[in-house]
Amino acid sequence: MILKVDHVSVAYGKLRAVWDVSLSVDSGEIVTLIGANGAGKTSLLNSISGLIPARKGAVYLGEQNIVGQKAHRLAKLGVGYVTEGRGIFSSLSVLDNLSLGAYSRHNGWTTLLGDVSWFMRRKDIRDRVDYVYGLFPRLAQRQRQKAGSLSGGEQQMLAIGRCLMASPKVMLLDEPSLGLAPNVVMEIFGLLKRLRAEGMAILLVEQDAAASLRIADRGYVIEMGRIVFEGTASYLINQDKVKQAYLGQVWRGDHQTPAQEEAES
Amino acid sequence: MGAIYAVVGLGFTIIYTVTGVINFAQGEFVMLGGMVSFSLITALGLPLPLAFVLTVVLVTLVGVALNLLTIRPARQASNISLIIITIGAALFIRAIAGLGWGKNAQPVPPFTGSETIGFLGAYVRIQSLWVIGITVLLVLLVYLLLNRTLVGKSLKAAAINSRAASLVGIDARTMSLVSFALAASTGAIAGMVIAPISFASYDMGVMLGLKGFVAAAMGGFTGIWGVLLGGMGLGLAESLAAGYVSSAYKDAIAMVFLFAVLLINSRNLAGEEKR
Repeated sequence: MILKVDHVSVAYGKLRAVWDVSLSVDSGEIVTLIGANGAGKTSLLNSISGLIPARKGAVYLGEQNIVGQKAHRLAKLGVGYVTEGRGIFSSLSVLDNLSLGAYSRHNGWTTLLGDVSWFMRRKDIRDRVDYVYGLFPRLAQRQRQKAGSLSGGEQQMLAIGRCLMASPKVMLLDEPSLGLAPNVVMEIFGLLKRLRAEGMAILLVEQDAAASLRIADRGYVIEMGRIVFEGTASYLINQDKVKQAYLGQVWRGDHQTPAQEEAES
Repeated sequence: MGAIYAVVGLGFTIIYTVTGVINFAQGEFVMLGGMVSFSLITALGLPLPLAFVLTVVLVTLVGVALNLLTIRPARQASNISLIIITIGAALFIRAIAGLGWGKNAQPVPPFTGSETIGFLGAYVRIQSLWVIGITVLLVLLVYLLLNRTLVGKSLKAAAINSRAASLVGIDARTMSLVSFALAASTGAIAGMVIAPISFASYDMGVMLGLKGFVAAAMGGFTGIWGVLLGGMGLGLAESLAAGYVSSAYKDAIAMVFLFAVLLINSRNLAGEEKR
C-alpha cells in the first residue's frame, strides 16, 4: 500500500470531524471517498496532507509513518493534494505556478536565489513541465497568462498539473468536478484514468458519487465522520443504502448527475 | 528624503505582503543601519565599502533574530498581537541602542566629500545623489529578487495563498524569515545612506519608520511601485511645505498624510482580511 490511513481521528477543539477512520490506497488505483457535505471528507484529506494535525491514529506513506508532519514536509515526501477551490497562485503566470509546483525539488539556497528560468532549465523539471503540457495542451498555449485569467476548468487543470510537477507518490483530490461543465469533468476524469494507468495512487473525494464510482476501483462511504461502507466500486453502486443516500438520481431513473444539473442551470 | 521613505516603506511592504504583519520595528532597522555604520567607520576606522557590507550583514542578523525570537514563537497569535509584539521589539531595540551608543546624535562622514554641487540652478549635496543612486539600485535589486528568482516567486506564492504554498512545499516560517531578513537589509542600507545627512542617533528610527509606514500605506501595501510613489510623494510634499509654508511644518505633513491614509484605508491595515 502506498497510503494507509490507520484509525485516524480529527477534531476541531471539542468538535470531532473524523472518527477512527482507516483506509488505504495502492498505486495504480483510484479510491473514492463519498459522503454528504460536512461528513468529514475534507477534514480527512487536510489531516493526511498535514494541513491540520490528526488527533489520533497513524498515516503511512509506504513504510513511513508521516502523521504529525507539516504540509510542506509532506509535499517533499510525495503527498500531492489538489484542494477544493484549487488554490492556484492567481497573480502569477501559468508557467510560474508550474515551476513552484516543483519547489520541493529545489536543493539549497543556490537554487532559491537562482533565476526561475534557470531552475526550469533543469532537465528533470523541464521534462516534467512538458509532461504536464502533454496532459493539458491548453496550459501550454496559456503559459504566459496570469493563472487568475484562466477559465474554471483550466484552473483545475493547472492545479492538478502543479501537483504533478512534484511527482507525488499519492494524489489527494478534493471535489475536482465542482462547478465545472460536464465535458470538462469528463476530460479531468479521463486524465485521472490515465494517471492510474501510469501507476499513480489516487484518493478522490467527490460529492458526485455516481460519477466518481464510475471511474473508481474501490470506495469508502463516510457519514458523520465514520466509514459506514467500503468495498469495490461495483459493490457500492449496487448497495441499496448507498443508492438511496448518494445515488438518488439512479434510483429515480434519472440519469443526470448533480454536477450536470448544476452546469445546465 | 522621499527616496529614503520609499526604501523604508519597502521594508514594511515586504513583510506585510508575506506575513500580514506590519512590522513597527522597521524604523529600528534603519536606526541600526545608521548607528552600526557610524561605529564601524568612526570608532573602528574601517573603510567605507567594508563597513557598508558588515552593517548590512549585522542588521540582517538582527532582523533574523527578531523573527526567530519574537514572531516565530507567537505564530498562533493574531496579527494584531504580532503587530504589538513588533512595537515592543522596537522599543527594546531603541532602548538598547540608547544605552549602548548614548543619546547624542553622532555625525557620520558622507560617502564622498561634503561639498554641494550645482544642478539646474539648485544646490545638491553629493550625499543626496548617493541616496538617490543607491535607492534606485536597491529598488531594482528587490524587484529582480521578487520577480525573477525562485525565492521571490515563493514569497509571492506564500503571500497569495499560504495554504496552497505549503502544499507545494513552501514553508511559511522560512518565508516569514526571508521577508524579515530582506526588510532588515533594505532598512540598514537606508539608515547608512541617510545618516551622513541627518546624523545618526538612537531615536532616528521613530520618525523614519513612521514616514516609511506612511509611504507604504499610501502605496496601499501592494507592491514596489506603490511604495515608491508614496515615498516620493511624501518627500515632495514635505519639501514644498518646508519651502512655501515653514520648515516647522515639515513633519506635520507626514502626520496629515498618515491621518488621511488611515481614515480611508483603516480596514485593510488591521490585518483582518488575511486569508
